[in-house]
Amino acid sequence: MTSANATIGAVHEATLRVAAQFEEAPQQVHAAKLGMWIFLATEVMFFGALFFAYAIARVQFPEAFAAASKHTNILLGTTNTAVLLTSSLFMVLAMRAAELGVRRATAILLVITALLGLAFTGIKLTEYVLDYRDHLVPVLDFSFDPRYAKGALVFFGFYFVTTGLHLVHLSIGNGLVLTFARRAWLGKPNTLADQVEIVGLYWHFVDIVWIFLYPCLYLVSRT
Amino acid sequence: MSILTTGLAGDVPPAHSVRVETPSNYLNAKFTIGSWLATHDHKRIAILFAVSITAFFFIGGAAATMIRLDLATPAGDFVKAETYNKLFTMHGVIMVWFFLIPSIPATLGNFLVPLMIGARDLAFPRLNLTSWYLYVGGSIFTIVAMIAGGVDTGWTFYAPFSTMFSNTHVIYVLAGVFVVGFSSILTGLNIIVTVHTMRAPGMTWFRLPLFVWAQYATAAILVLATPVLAMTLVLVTVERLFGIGIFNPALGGDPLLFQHLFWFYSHPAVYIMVLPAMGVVSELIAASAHNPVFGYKTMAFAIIAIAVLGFLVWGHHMFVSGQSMYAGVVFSFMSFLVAIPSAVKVFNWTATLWHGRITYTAPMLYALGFVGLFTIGGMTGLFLASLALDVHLTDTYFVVAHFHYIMVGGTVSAYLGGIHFWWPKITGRMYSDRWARFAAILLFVGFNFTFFPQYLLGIAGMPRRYHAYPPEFQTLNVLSSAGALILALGYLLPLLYLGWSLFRGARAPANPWDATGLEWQTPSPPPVHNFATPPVVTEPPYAYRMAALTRDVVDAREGTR
Amino acid sequence: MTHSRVRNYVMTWIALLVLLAITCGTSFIPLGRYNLAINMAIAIAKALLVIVVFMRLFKSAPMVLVVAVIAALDLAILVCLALPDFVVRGW
Repeated sequence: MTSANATIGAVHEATLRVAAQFEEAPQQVHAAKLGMWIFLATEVMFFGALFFAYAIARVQFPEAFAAASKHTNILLGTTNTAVLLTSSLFMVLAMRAAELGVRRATAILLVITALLGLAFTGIKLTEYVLDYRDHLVPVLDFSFDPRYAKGALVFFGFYFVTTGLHLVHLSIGNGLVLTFARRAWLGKPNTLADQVEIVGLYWHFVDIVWIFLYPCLYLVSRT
Repeated sequence: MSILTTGLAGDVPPAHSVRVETPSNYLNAKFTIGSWLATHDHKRIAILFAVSITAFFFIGGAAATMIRLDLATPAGDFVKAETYNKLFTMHGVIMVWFFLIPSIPATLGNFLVPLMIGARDLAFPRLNLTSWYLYVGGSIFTIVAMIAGGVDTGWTFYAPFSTMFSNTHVIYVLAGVFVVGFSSILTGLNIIVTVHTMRAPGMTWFRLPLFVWAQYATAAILVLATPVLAMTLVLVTVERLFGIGIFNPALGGDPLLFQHLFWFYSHPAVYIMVLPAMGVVSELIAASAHNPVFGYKTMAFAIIAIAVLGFLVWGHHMFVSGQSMYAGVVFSFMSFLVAIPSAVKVFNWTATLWHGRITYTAPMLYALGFVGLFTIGGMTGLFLASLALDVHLTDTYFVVAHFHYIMVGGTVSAYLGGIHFWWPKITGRMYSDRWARFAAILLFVGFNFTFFPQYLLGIAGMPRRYHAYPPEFQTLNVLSSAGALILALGYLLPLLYLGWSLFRGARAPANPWDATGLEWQTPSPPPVHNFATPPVVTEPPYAYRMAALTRDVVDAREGTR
Repeated sequence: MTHSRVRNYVMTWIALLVLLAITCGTSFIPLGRYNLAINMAIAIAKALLVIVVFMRLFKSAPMVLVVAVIAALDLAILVCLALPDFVVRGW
């Protein structure tokens, strides 16, 4: 029965274990997906407020932000963006594999996703170390061209807060992805496809945050 | 057990005269502490929340008592100025975030929404329990802050005072509010998903009780507005800890950025506080007047309209902040608009009484009190929404009276009314309606004595958040403080007679008020999974005129013994 | 059909990388205010690709679309009502 267009319900309905509060499996799946999208809506407002504050600060310090942004590492930043976009690809491929019931492939694709996420983390931490070496970390021996120091401090304050929060979210995502990779490998729950899709939603959202962070932090002014 | 024989008025029959074996319900299913602290049952979680928020209500009330004691005399001699600042800050923080916001959604909402829609639990029971633990965790931060000496920024944490100049433990309280914010976000998420996906067969949107509509709209606000507060608190912490100039003008920041972000959440927050109360009042008035709610669909749309418009008015807290005049005009206009659906609801509640068979039980007294006090509070909101008037009234006691009329006269009245109305369902016991009505009336009297003089003080020019004031304001202040003592007594009384009812109250039947709604079709207290058999809904909501015809069906549906 | 869905995902990924290259590359060309406009437009395009293709927004339950739209609207309210104050205020 597993045609390429197999939907979750058709393949797994007969064997799904439904939680006590739900009547039937599709209801539980729908509730879980709706729940994740609503959670993402809260994250949109959370990061949205942060981006808004950044925008106001940037309007306040246009030259300082431009000068400060030039000190971000565009090579590492762009590489990281490519890494994260690729991880989203592997995430969605893993979801597709899970839908088709191919468990081992799902697990491998999830592991690759997590490895790319870890690569992002590694590159980001490297950047942090380089930033510290260049005296760009607020409070920790910060120093900048005096003409722009006030605004540059604000820029790097936002830089570390935004990328730090993003990294926290990414790390949680990594943990979830690896957890489901293990479950997929062990051939565990029948709801795997839905759970992978839901984790995927979260993962793609973290990617979208970075899609906006990248130009805001690295591309303010490169000329 | 006939529905007609119990509870509408008068004394409670002695418990020992009726000897029935209590059937298995959610309370007696298991008695261990672990079964409570690790429960997934929305009814038990509601009780956990109720206990927690009651404790905080009295802590916040203690701060208020100290405030009113200090204000009984013009000289600031009861407490020092710095202590006074800490008292009104902690009063505000605790009452807003640790009492009012979770009050109805996390207690009555948690308990009743699944019952009212015919479900076995909320969509995400473990998330529900997590929500309570987050509340407890957040509250620990706040308690630590209080013990460490309190915070003096005001519950509004305006920057740059909170980020640069306050010498108190601001970050502890910010952390506490941050964590408790996520507690409320999870509650909101749970309710939205539950109402969308778990309604019983036949329970269409326009058969839902208005209580559910109100919780749903509140949940939407919780989910959309609270994250902005979370980010604001993060940014305040960043500026305070690391000196990043986000809000502090000396460092290049913008203080109005703080205010825009803060009030973007905090205005919808007041609708988080009042919409659930409106939902409760609709239920109480319909049941006590034995009438369908007048204009049900209009009431439902008014709830949604209030929620939506509530996001568009936050600048009315900033009329004198230096924001642009054009912003002031826009926000003033929107604030007038949001009064319209609120007024529609007041008219419809009143119309619900028309040709009703009204019983003046304690819940009804609380509901009627709500309607009157909310109307006064709401109308004074219009005064404050007028730009020119607000210039004179802002930061005076007029504002303090306005929001206390809505939050205390409104929300707390509705919360108490709801607790009384659903007490038989929640605990399986009847309380003394005589004592309950006495307390309700005492609260109404005490409340007006406390807060009406504050309108007059505000018009006369007395500023808020001052620990001392010119002697000519003393009479009104003494009146207000005396009223506060009556209020305190009124709030303590329910602890006594409701507590008493837990041990000596008569066993409650499934439907002591003869009310409509699925929650009354199951025993009091409900079984663990709410309904013996999943209900199927065929009636419109508030089918009071049809009650006589369907009574037999109702009797047959009361759960197994 | 499997083949074409995976193909869609890979094509989207390639489009994302191309957009990344464009946004990065154009930053080195001095275009004044248009740099910001281009970067924001590309960021929005990338985000939309991820939401529509990877997150399958239009293939999900209708309520999901409602949630996404409302979240966007709420953020728009914050920006559209607050930002003008900063622009018009003059201090």
